[in-house]
Amino acid sequence: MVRAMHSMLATLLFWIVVLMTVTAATFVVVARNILHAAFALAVAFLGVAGIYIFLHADFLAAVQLIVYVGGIIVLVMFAIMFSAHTQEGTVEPRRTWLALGGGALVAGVVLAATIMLINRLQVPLAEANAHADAAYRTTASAAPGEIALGHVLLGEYLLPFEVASILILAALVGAVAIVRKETR
Amino acid sequence: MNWSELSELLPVGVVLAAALVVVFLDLVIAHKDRYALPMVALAGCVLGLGSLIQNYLSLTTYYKQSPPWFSGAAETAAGAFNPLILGGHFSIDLFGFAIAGVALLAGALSVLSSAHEEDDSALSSGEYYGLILLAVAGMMLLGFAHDFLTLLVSLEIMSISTYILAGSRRDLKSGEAALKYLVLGAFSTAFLMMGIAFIYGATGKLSLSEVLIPSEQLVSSAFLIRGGLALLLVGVLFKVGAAPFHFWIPDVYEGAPTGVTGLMATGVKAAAFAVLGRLAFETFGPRYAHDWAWLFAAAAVLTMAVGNFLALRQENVKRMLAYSGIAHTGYLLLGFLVSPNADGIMLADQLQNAVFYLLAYALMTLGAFGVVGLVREDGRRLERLEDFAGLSKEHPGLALCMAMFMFSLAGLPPFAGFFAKFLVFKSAVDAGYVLPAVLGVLTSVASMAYYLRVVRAMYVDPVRATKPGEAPAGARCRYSWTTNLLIYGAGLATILLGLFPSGPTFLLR
Repeated sequence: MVRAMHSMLATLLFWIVVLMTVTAATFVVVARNILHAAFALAVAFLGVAGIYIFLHADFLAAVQLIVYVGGIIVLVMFAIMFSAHTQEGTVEPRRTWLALGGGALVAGVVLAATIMLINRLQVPLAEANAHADAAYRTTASAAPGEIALGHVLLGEYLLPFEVASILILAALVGAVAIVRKETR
Repeated sequence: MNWSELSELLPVGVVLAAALVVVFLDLVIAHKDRYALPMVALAGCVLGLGSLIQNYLSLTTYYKQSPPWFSGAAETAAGAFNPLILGGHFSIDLFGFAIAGVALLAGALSVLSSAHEEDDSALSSGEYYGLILLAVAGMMLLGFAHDFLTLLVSLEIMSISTYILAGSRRDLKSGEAALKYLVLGAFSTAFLMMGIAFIYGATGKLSLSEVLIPSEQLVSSAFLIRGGLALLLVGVLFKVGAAPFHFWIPDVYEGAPTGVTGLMATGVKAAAFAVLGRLAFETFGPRYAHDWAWLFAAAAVLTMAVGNFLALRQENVKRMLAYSGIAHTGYLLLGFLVSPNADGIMLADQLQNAVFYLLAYALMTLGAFGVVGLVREDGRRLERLEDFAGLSKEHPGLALCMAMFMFSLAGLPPFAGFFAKFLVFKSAVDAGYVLPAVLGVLTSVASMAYYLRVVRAMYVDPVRATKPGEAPAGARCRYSWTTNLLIYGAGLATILLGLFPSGPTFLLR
């Protein structure tokens, strides 16, 4: 009885999070004020972190919170507020029927592909979820995911991980190049 | 992981070190000679090339045989050459060496063609040359990359550097080019990442040569893997600029500074083709040729048709060269069609032909962009076809080289472009794709129309007066010894490669 209640509550909570995420994401697209869009994006990121928790990817949820909600959104806000065009504040998107139709078409194709993908899965999704739930409950303490991830990242995949530092170097030099171009 | 194998990546390290030196030098030297930074960048590329050749020679001496063309072609006997190093993240095979070599060449030549741009301070800053070198380092890593993770990170090093390079000139067009390139490039990377995520999710493997090894998992999640590979191919076709994912190329090539356009058209394209080649030869191979080669063939035919047809209507030479670049992507795709019953020797031959094409295309395209970058008047860049009128009288040497590049791009003998096209058409026919090869020959004949228009403009068209009341004068060029060095060097190489097409392969043996 308690377990059934618990499961129902979890389902309810899941749908609330999903609704929040989708609503926020929609608002990002339709918002006229770019600052409002950025705030909505933060809410959408929060929702995605919530979905990760439902998938038992706790570590990923924490990363999502720290990197996206904590880092990227703050940077986006800074960029908007520091750029010269904030006074205008709003953007007037051109909403033509062609653009609407194209967007709807792409969304429809992606939706159809996703549904097809789920239907074609060898193990039905509900069964796989129940299995993962059971595995999660029986494992003592936290899932070993982040430990394994750390070992793989600093062991087998250390080299690609280090090569990523060159990527950051390129981005840094590029940022300097853009700023210097403007100030000269 | 055997860390001593890291020495095989020393050429990349040399280029990276040069990138850092250039950026710091710009800060340290107060009154600098305008050739100081380009020369350091050039030295980085030359040293990188030297280190690459040194690596190749020491490997050949050690194993008493040259490396295989790709890791799948390696012998498996004990003591035989094993190109997979550093835990399989990199494959030091001939294909990798060739791509890294073309990347270094493209980097060096685009540095040479940028050195005269001192009137635009952004183009003579340390960051500009540093980013060129970083992009080259990314291309070299991409040439050797052998798993999806390394591949993705290397691809992004190259892409992020070129996004910024495309916007390094201080005008609206350059900014537009950079923004378009960034948005569409990020979009294509998203496709690529989605594809990799699907494939990894289905197989749990990241190594390019292992993901499609037949297994129970491959059968049970075939749908997921197919979806992943399709997304991956979209991303890669986007990066090489194949139709129908070519829309970004003309605007980006036209708006970017000419030196950067040269780098994008040659080095970036070669590196993107490295990914495509590894997918076609190592991941799919003959085993899956039935499934995928027709897709490559369709993309090749469409790309050749679109590129050549749209190039006919261009009045701007830089834009025309951009469409010509799309057409050449189509010809190159023909070189990556794999026959279902190909053996290792045939695949190696095909790869060799494709690499020859990349090298020849890099030389003639960089040369042509070098000439386009020089034609200007009162500091204004002139890129329209009519601006080239009379170039043969004012600068006969440059006009001759430009004519040679055009003939070579059109595929006329005795220039390098002829043998390049001949070789890829031959590999397509050998692999059993006769119709795409025939269409390739036909579009190639049609392409002469727009290449010869440039030659006609330079040699035949009457010159016009630039200002009313002035005597008509032919096109004027800015003098720059570095760009002249590039143009004449590339011109000489185009002829030599055409007369002795087996030269590069002779060096390998």
